[in-house]
Parts: sequence; C-alpha cells; structure tokens
Amino acid sequence: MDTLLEDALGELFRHVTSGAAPGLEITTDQRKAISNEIYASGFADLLLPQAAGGSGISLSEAIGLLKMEGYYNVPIPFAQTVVTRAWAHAHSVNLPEGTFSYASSALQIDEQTRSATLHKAWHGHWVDHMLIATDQQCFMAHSHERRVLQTYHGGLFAAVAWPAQGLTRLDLDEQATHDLFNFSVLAMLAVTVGAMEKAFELTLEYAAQRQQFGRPVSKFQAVQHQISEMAEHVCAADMALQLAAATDDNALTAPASHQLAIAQFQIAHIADNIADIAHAIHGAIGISQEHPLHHYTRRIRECKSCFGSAQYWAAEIGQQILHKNNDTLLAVLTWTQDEKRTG
Amino acid sequence: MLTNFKFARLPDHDEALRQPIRAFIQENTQHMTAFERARSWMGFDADFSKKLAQQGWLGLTLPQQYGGADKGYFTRFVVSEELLGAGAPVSAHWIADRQSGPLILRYGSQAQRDFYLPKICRAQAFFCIGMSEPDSGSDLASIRTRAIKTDDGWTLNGSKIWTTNAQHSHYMIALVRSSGTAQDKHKGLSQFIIDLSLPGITIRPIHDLAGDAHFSEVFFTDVQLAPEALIGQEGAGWEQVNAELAFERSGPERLYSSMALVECFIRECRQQGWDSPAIQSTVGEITARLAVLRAMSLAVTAKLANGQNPALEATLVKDYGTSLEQDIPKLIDQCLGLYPAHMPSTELINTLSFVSQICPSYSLRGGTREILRGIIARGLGLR
Repeated sequence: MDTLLEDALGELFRHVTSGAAPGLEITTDQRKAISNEIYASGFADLLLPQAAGGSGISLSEAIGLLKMEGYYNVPIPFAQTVVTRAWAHAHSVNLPEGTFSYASSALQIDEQTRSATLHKAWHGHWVDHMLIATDQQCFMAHSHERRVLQTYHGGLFAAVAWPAQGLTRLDLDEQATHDLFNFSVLAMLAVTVGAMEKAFELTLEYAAQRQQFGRPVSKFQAVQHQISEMAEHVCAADMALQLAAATDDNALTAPASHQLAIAQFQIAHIADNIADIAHAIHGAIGISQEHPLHHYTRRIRECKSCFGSAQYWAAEIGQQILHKNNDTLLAVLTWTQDEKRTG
Repeated sequence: MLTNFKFARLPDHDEALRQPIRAFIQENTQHMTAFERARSWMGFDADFSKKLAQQGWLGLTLPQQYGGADKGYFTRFVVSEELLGAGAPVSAHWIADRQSGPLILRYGSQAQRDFYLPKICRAQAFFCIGMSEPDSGSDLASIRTRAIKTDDGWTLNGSKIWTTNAQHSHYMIALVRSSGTAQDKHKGLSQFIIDLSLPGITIRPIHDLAGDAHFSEVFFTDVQLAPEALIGQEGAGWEQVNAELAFERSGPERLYSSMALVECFIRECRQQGWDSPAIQSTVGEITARLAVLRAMSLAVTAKLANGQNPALEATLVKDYGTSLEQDIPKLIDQCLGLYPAHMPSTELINTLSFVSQICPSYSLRGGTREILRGIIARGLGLR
C-alpha cells in the first residue's frame, strides 16, 4: 500500500470535512466546493494508468483510499467517481467532468409522462451526474433537469425524478454495463467498510473513556466480549472487501462477480451487528445528533443492501453452486484465481 | 486496527500439491460416508496416517534430516485443508504433526529431536496433549498434576481429562507442576513427554454425547519418568504451551469441522433436484462465510510464513471460524425444515444429527469462546 497516497488523501479529507461538513446541515454549495477541491487534487483519477494522469496503483492498493470516504464521512461520492472514471477510461466512454453517482435497476420509467423516478439515489439530490443501469440499458441523468422529490435524513440518499429529455442513453456493450455495476458495488462496499472501521475506533475510544461504577466500561467483561465480536466482524468485512478487490494488477479490470458476491454478502450480513454493538457500547450519547457515531452507523445501515441484501447475494452464490457444476464445495473454495475469473 | 489481515494468495508451487493430494484422499476415503467424515480431525485411522506418511505428507514442516519435507506454512495449509475439507480420518497423526513435532523441534534437546521426529514423520509415534484436569479447564494455570524430582528423574502423580486420543497415542506431552503450588499460577509449570506404556498409567476413554470415545481420562500413579522426559526449560511450561496454542489456533482446523455435512447437503440438493431461493441462500451463505474465513486464515498463514507472530489474528479467526462451524448445522436444519414434503436421506439426517450434537465442542477445544474473546480484548488494549 502506498502510504504516501494514503497520508495525502487522509490530510485532504480531514481538511475538507473540518468546516461545516460533515454536519447534517451541509448545503449543496458546500458539497460542490468540497467536490471541486477534491477534483482539483487529482485524486479522482487515482485508478488511471500513469500515462493517463493517474497514480498507476492497482485496485487492491486503491481499496484503502476508497474506504476513506466512509472513514472520514466525506459528503461526496468520491469512491464512485474514482471507479467511474477508471471504468470510462477502460471502455473508452466519454464522460463529462464532475462527481458521479450510480444506481441500478430500480428506475421507474413512466411512458405517459415521459419521466423517470428513482427513490433511492446515492447523493441524488445534488451530484453532478448519475449513471443509472436498468435491464441492459444505461442512462446518464443530468443534474440540470433533475427534480428532487425528497432528501432523506442524513443526506446520503434522495428520491429524484427526471423528464425523459433529462436522461441520455449510453450506447454500451454488455461487458461495459456489467463492469460498471461491479465497480460500483465495490466502491459502495469500500465506503461501507470505511465507516465500519471508524465506528469501531469510536467504540474502542468511548469504552476506554466512559466511566461507570468507578471504572471505564471497557473493564467489564460483557463489554469486552461485545467489542471483541465487533472486531471480528470488522476484520471479516475488510477481508471480504480485499477478496473482491484482488483482481489482476491492472487497475482497470473490474472485480470478478463471484468474489464480489461473496464480499457483498459478507458485508451486508454483519453490517447491522457492527452498528448495533457500536450503539450498545455508546449508550444514549450515541443516539444524539451531537455525537458523530450516527454518521457512520447511518452509512453502514443505509448502504449495506443498496445493491441487494445479504439474502439476495447468498441466493446468487448458492444458485451458481447448485446449478453450474458438480464440484464439491471444497473445490469451489479452493478455485485458483484463473479459474475464478472464468467461473 | 490493532489486528491486521492482508489478503494473501497461495504460492503456485504449494498450489501444485493440491491435485495429487486430492486424488490420493479421494482414492483412500472412497468407502467413507458423510457421517464418518463428519468426525473431521477426530476420525482415527492409523493405516490412513501411515499411507500419508509413505507419500511424504507427514512432518511437512520438519527438517529433512528428521524425515520431514522442510516445507513452509503454505504447504501445510494446502495439505491440511484438503484433508479436513474431505473429512479424511487424520486424528491418529494430527496432533503429533501439527503441535508435538514443531514443539519438539523448537524446545527439544538434540536427542529428543533425533528420537521422536523421525517416528512422527513415519506415523509411528502418535501424540496427545495433556492440559485440562478435573478441576482445571479454562483456568489452566491451576493444574495439580505434579512431577517431583528424584535421583533417577521424576515421579509423576495426578490426572488429566478430556485428552483427545489418549487411548490411541504412544506419547502425551503434558503440562504439569514441577515446583511451587497452585497459588504460584503460571510459575513452576513444566512440559513432559510421557511414554503412555509406562507402569502406573491408566487410561479410561470417555464416551461423548454422540456415542464416540475420542477423549479420555488419564491417571498417573507414581509414574517414574527419566530425566529426559522433561522438554524445554523446567518452569517454562506456560510460555511453551502458549506458543503451542498459538500454532493450534492458526490453521484451517477452524473452518472445516462441519464440511462433511455441507458437502452431503449440497450433493443431496443436486441429486434430489431441491431448488428454491431459500436453499440457494443457505448454500450461498455457507459458501461466502467460508470463503471469507479461508481468506482470513490464509492471511494468518502468510504472517507465519513471513516470520511474524499472528497470535491475536489467529485467536480472532478461531473464534469467528467456530461460530460459522456451529451455525452450519442450524442453517441446514432450518432450510430442510422449510420443506416438510422433502425426504432427506438417512445419511443426511444422521450427519446433521451428529454435527448438531457435537458442535458445541468446537468452541470449547483449544480454548473456549470466552477465553478467546478475553484474549482479543487484551490485544485491543481493553484489559
């Protein structure tokens, strides 16, 4: 891992989130200012080859950087923008400048009013561009035509609508659509795991500092065991993410579907456990708006099932195993990298 | 994070070992039912262990001069996972190969290495580990079995309990008190290699709730031990045991205990054409959780291979792994019960019943869940 890049991005994220952000009242103008500052730093192109102005690092090396969006509660879809730009470069898709968000499937297109509605759009109320994939088609939604129906509390997601002319259909082949989905899922998982790691750190700190019955609550065995369990879940979530990001050394190769499904399942499966333990240890203060814990537990809860719940992904994986071949499960688990890619 | 798992791949030359050993296991375990395979590393078959030894697959990590293969942790990972994943009956040699051999190599005298290690590599010396006593389980430092120094060596009195395979083993490596009293806790404990054929030793197998007798109670009455029965430093037993336990906690042993049941379930779903979202998600959940745990276990192995000490990570993986191993029979039972019209085979019913009953032991052996979570909490700086 390139710690120089991590240090630099960490510094930038600390700086951009030190003012009004990442409070709940952050305005669209503030988000845009942060977005512009991050854009100007060049980090949005970090997955591109060096020849194209990127850092030339691999996807697995970039994971630590993508996680930082969640860890620092950065109020813009940084990870999604990074992977979208890498994807566009790989598939020679021309994209406008700006911050990108992504959604898949749940777009309602009304032929009569010739409009499209999306009820859970990642940063949908303010982001520069949204890519929306639906049944083999991919649209780019333009911000100037957008109508915001509702911004959900916390400002991570919004319900938005566009008139038909606000959507441009992108002419993509199946592989490009598929790769965009996989990149986007990975970006969302990275942000979620970043938030989990921060929630864990806050919990460790709070347990050591909060005194009850004359000693820190971290001295109570019941508390210790909950935090140990939380550590296990957080480590497993991070390992799942690394598994999905372990593509070849080419940063422009999208994550493989099999490993991504495993990661998506694992992270969604334990997400609520992590948030629940964080809140149990924090007690009442963790429920207050004043304490920062909710920024991270909200991310964990709202992002975990964005592209399908744990059970959905489990069924996807199980279906493959039950239908596709007669391998033993051991053979599936020990597939080498090359076999997985074709699997 | 104080714990640090970094994704690692198995090197190609270790991966190359997989197909030959898989073919060997398939050929030599053809006769076994899922019910038998579900014993995992409790399944005893001395002939199978001898055949493995003939292939050179025992003592993989031991030096060649003792009959080992001088291979590293990754090789061991591949061989272990193939054996455990298939439910091969490995228990005869398992403890000698995994724990006793490395312990003797690390702490033993030259004479002890020369005597025991070649026997371990040839599957001629099976070992058990004497830790728990009737009044000392998780509180291991309170053990009372005592070795008293004499002119000719040591005299041993006391008893051990829950000793896996004692009734089948040639030797026990036991943690006993060699000086001080129980109040001295970790001080004054030593490890001895005890020849179980010596006079004064009585071994009484204990039947478990599933009808097996894989562990025993062992009584020592004025057992005369030679001076060279002591292994390592007198009084350093506690440190030696902890190094040994860290080793025990690091391997794929904590992933595949319920694997025979899973394979049986999947095979039956395919054969009977059972298919539904619930069945798919049961298979998928087990697969995904195993895949992530395997990656965590491999990350621990990579640290060992790099010469680091991943004791905390190994503890975490063990606790997480046993939780999954114990969830597996519940998930499968829950899934089967959704379809009362389906009739599972007697083999599946038998295997599910066995694993459901025995699985509480997964988080007891080698350190209970509560002890492990305490170790993790200490690693996190909470105690």
